[in-house]
Amino acid sequence: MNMRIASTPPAIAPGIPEAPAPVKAIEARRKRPAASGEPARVSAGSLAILPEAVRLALQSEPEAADDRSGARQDA
Amino acid sequence: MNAAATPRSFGDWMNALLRHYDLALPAHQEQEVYSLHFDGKPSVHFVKTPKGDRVDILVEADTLPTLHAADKLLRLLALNACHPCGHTAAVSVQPPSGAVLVWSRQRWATLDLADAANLVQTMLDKSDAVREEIRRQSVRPAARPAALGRSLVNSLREA
Repeated sequence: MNMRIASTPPAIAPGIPEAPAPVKAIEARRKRPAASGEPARVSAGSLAILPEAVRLALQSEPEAADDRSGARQDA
Repeated sequence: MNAAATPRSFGDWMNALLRHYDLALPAHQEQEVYSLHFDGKPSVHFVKTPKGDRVDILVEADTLPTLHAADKLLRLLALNACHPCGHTAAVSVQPPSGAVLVWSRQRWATLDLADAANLVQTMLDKSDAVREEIRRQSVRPAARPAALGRSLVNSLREA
């Protein structure tokens, strides 16, 4: 399994104090080819590694897709 | 997942799921987000909820070209019907971007690994259905014969 640390560099702009922090993700890729329905690789890290649409959705509607059976158990 | 194999933490559960897929991360420290990447398919993201007892599983299926296409939105709503796997996976649209997400929230501690893998497959299938519906051309419904008849009678009366 090939493993590496992927990162995107921060935007370096002299004079602008709020450069975004580097987005670091741990990644692992499988050695053998993935069969149908199997993931080829995994990445993990902070919320910052998520696509923007997914991150915004989590921030704006955290209960939107709540599992109904779970909600009943909580009640 | 049986009682003996009950994971102690979200990180344990995710590592078990990764082993199920023959994947393993180098670091054992629990992460906030785990993303599975498939060839030719959208990625599936696993995010621990703030309380920590559940996991949000999300797929960014596609983006709506316009938020004012009611027919497309109605067809996407129809995809929210229950699936035989028994787990909820909702299709939702995020304004203003129009991103269409397939989203499920589950208690990770009681979600069997095989069930989780089935749910991931269900969400990818639903994501394919979303893309198919978005790419389908909008078709204006044909006028009903009775309405056409009334229109013709009215035209004749006016003449």
